[in-house]
Amino acid sequence: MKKIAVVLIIIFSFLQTGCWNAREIDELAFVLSVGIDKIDNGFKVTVQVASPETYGKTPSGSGAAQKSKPFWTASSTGTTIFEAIRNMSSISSRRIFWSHIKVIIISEQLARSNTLEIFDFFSRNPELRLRTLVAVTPDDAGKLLDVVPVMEEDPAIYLEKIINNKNLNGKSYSIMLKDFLEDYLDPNVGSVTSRIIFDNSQSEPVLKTSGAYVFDGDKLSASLNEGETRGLLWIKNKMNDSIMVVNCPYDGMSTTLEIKKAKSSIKSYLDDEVSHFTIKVDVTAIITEQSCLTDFNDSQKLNELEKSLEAAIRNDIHSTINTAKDLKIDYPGLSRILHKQHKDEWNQISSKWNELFRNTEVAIDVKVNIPHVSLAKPLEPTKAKN
Amino acid sequence: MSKEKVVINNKQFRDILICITWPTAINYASGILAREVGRDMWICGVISILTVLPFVFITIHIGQNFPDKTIVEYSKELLGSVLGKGLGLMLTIYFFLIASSTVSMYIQHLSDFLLPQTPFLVVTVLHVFVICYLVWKGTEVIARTAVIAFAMAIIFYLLVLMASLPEIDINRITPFFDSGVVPVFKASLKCDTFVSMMPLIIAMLMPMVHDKKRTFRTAASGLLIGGSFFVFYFIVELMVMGPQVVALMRIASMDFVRSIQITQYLHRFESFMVALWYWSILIQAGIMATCSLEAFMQTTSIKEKNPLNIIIFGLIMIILTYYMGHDKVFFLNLRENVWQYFALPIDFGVPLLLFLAFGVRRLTSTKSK
Repeated sequence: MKKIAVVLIIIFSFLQTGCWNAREIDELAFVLSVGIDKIDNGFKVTVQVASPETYGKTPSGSGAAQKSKPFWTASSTGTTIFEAIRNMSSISSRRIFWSHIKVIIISEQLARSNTLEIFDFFSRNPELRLRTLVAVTPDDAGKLLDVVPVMEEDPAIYLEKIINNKNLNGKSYSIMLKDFLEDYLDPNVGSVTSRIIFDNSQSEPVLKTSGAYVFDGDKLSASLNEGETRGLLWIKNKMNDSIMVVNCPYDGMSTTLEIKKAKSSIKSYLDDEVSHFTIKVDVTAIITEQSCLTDFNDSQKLNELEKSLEAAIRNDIHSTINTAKDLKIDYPGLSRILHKQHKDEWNQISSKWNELFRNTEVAIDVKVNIPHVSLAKPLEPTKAKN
Repeated sequence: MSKEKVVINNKQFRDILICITWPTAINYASGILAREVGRDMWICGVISILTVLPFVFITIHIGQNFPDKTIVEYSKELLGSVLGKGLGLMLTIYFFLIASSTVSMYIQHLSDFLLPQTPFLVVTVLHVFVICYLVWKGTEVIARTAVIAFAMAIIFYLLVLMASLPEIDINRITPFFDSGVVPVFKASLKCDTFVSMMPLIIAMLMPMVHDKKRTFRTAASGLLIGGSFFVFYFIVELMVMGPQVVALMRIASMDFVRSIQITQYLHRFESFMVALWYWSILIQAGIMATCSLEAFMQTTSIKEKNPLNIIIFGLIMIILTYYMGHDKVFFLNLRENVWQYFALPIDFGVPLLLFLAFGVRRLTSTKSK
């Protein structure tokens, strides 16, 4: 037995002389974001690769010339996405490595034609993670990745952070690939992605999240404005920490409220193939800024402000539902509520949901509580007593 | 191996049973079940555990009447020499197939995600070498390793729990019995193919268990702990990815682990998770291979295992694993559409047949008295 063991150890030791799958770090190009655009006969894929010098603790040689950009971008074309990526090997000395990708950006023009191939590629790729964010841009996706952000080291981290800031401004949407695929694979629900645009109002163009895009099956169908997106965030319980600006009920000046807690719940029932939903939203908010001189420590006045906020939230949700009904795309996911709450009835109508959705009745019940106004009285100069 | 000298304590026995219950179930069963019954896949897991429990009881009941004999040995007494030997041969092949399937799953996992360029055959040879080493060392060593594997499984599930919490959405598993009661029960048969070999393994290991009176309690706790492990995994997998995405994936467990993270600071920990999972799947492959060799030796009345046996055994396993596992389309079809047709009759039919024979024998012996 010992002899056999020695022979086996010698044989196997030959297999241990090097790692079969060795991928040295200095031979890899770590893709942090990818932009996909449509061209006449296929795709243009742009990858934004992390620069080792940017992430290294010490610069590689003090005499080295400063690079104009702290990252590297490369574009390539092909009839399929994978062909375009492989064609990149003719300009990239390093092998494209997907494990660290943070954002997939698709151009609107491409998303309106067909996205099946894109999501098929990214679902199959064993290196890619399903946590990767998905976004669509009305501009050229490749150009988006070329913008040098001021606050971050590269556009991928910048994009990831501004997309995930959705609940701070309440005007944009974020979705991970796994959640996007879940909606994409559901024949009754429309997927929604972030919308990234160039903001040219700054001294230098910067990237900005604004609104969202709605998909119908594998094609992009419409964009949502910021109000409609906010309505969707209310329905999907994603408005915590956001803000709402409403008019002061007495003089029409702006008052800003920070949403401390927002909880939505949906109840449904079916009445002869007409589905009815009641969206109930409970909100706790605080006053963070007011430009009027109303004293909201007066509970009657505060009650009026609460009603103003309730109306504003109702408007947001209404606009979202109306857009969804006009588009005939159930992107708020009401069909899932019906399915969950009325399984048997749902099974009977699920095949014609896309037509029935238009006749859906939605009631909105919003309750706002403002327990904190920050100041004991408005910021008003004290009047001199006569 | 002379089984009279081999003793494993009840805790080790329980840990072996835990290790053979969950690792392959989370690997392949989740995708298969999600394609069948979507969000109800976890209910299939619960039904499977409850289905296997009475069969565990039956085999333990028979085994307690033959305290020093394995199922292969007492089946010769209950069914006669020829039928008993036929059954022994069948179990040899069956355990061998499960061992080979388990090895295939592990190697596919490595070759799909971690070592995509390493030839399948190379990883197979190396892994089968480890399995052969375990078989040579025998059940006692496997049992001691199973205790470590159980600890690793606990760490694995704690990490899964911590990482999944921010992503879970309970709405993804409701409504229950969405695909109907009958389809869920029918699909649970596919889940059974990952769990229901347990009564046969118990019947092979029982003569080695130290406290035979407590065998049922030990085995039931092993089944319930191992079962709750994979049912928990099914539930969080569904709650994080949703049934459509689980159904899309061939090995959904890996995509799931790649979809979760413990805060933003501990992510991309799938290699670590594979290392924790490996302990249990190693025990599963090791114990299946050991039972196969043991069944073969008892059927052919070979007294001692020798290196030649193990080398031949290992070579056959390399060939079988290579042909079963390297074509992933074939393997998925085999496990998803074919396996149940030969596995379930053996898993449930053999204990029932022996129970019947045992009942008849008892009845005739009572009458003759």
